[in-house]
Amino acid sequence: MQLHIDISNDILKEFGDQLGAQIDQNKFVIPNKLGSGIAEKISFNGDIEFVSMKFTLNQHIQTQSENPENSPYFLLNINLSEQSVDKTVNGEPIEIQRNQPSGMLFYKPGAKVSSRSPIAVPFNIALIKFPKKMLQQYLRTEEELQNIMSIISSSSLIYEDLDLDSENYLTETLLPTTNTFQKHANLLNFLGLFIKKLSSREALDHSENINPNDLKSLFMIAGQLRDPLIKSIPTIENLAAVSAMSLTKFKNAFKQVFGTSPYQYHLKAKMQYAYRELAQKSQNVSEISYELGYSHPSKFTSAFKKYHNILPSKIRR
Amino acid sequence: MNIFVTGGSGFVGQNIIPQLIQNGHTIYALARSQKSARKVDKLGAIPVLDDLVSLSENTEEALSYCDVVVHSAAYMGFTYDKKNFYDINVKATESLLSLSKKNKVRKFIYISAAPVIAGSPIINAKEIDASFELPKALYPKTKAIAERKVLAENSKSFTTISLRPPAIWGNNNHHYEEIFARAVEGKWKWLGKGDQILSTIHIKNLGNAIMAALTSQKGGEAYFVTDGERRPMKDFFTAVLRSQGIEPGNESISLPFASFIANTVDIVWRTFGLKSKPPVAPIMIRLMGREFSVDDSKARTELGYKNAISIKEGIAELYENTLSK
Repeated sequence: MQLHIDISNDILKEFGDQLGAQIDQNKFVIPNKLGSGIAEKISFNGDIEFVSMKFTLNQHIQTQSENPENSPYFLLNINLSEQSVDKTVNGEPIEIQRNQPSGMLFYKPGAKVSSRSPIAVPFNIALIKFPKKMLQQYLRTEEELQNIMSIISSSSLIYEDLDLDSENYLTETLLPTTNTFQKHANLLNFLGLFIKKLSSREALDHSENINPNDLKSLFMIAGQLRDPLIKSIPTIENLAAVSAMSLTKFKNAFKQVFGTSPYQYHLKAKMQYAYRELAQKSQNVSEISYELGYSHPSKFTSAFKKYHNILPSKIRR
Repeated sequence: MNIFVTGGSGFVGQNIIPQLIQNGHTIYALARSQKSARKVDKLGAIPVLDDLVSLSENTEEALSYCDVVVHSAAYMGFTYDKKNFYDINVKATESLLSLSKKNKVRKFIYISAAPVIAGSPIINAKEIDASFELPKALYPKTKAIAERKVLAENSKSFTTISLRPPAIWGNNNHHYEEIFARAVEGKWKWLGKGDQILSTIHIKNLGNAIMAALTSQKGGEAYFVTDGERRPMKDFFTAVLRSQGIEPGNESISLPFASFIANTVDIVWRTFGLKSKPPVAPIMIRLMGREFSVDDSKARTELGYKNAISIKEGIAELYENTLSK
């Protein structure tokens, strides 16, 4: 089966119609003969289109997507699944996955992207389409705008990684909630972070002096460390061994790419998680402490105080 | 297939959802809070924000996409909080059943519990041996009432199956943490000699049983599902505790004494309608103090249920999990 998606059109409709699905209230269910799953458009004020797709296919689907030259939109394709997706962008191959340096793929006008979806693999994809003119509206100075436009026009293949903050914002946007204001705020935060990454070309910074395979391992490890509830935290020696680097090389490379040590990187995930749980009143201090694997709530409390400079008990109020 | 799962953030759900997804299914998981939604989302399921005791159009909509329901959510505990037991275990099951039928779900798999059969000791019980009497304790009683309602709804267009696991075990089972904590404090005591036989089921085996129920053509039946082999309680728990680096020791209290305490506690808690957890309840004596073993050959022949893992392999996994902590 082959799909041709013009992303300057209504994306959900493009997919739904071509898959032979019935679109109902900004949603469609994958037809039984193709597999199972759902695609949903989440509506926000303004000209932003957010499509979330969770599905498993039982036959291969070849997708050709195009953002036409004269399109007034940009699109971000984020692969939140464990499985990576092989794509070619204007002929260049790229692997998209949340634990890879290329977690989000950017489609500028003129981008032609093709991919083939494997069968029997669960996918979780988010597509965010936003108008080009948003950059003019949201960037403060002409200089910032010029900088980002020149970055966009200088490269045919543009991607960035998903880091802890962007992944959190995106996940919160995707979760069902009755508070759409909150969802929208999360989405804008997410886009803001992406634009920031893009304007400093983090993806290119990362790859300087680091071999692509090492870079892949580093991102794979960082992806695991982003889970605040990870059951067992390997030692740094183990992490180095897993990434097939010497200890010194691993430490330096991790720091260069993520700006911090693996321990601090994971600590941030834990502390942010704890803060959110407390702020949302989902759990009390001792429950969180236990969940995060602290041997005693007092240890959690002091770690929290050190990180956030406020006692956890004060957050709950 | 599209499958609707309840109890997704519980021990059973957390293990079943990934297995179902790996088998190519799309999972809609009921989530009561943002936290549970995040939890099931992380497993790859589509969270459906709703409350089991007051199901809304969110659930209806998800059910309209689904072919199968796996209902594993339940209120469990040894308390005497009658309302929760009835609301969650009985009433919610009834409303989920009727919404499922209304939305043309084809199969309803109910995760029941082996103690839905009354009596004690239970020795090698088969489904057919079970008396029609309801068990006394609130948990198995409400599960039994719900199970009967589920099975009564079985029809050609809406197949219902009930799986009856005994004690469920496996890695990261938070139900066991309290037991471990007691043992660490040196408060572990065997009930009686500890030689009473206990049927168990590893979570991976329960996963297999659900897969078997999913593909089977059978309907309107209840099935015991177990690890196949069974062990004396002392052997089993000693192995489990040792895997956590805990030595349970040999202290025991006699069964008549324990039963006396449990019955006394039972009367006091019932009389005063206490909602706290009693130190020991008669159901604990029934399940752990005397033999509780069931025969799962019906599930093996009719559903084609097979073990995924042996008790020995399950224990080895517990060790590995502890070591990596």
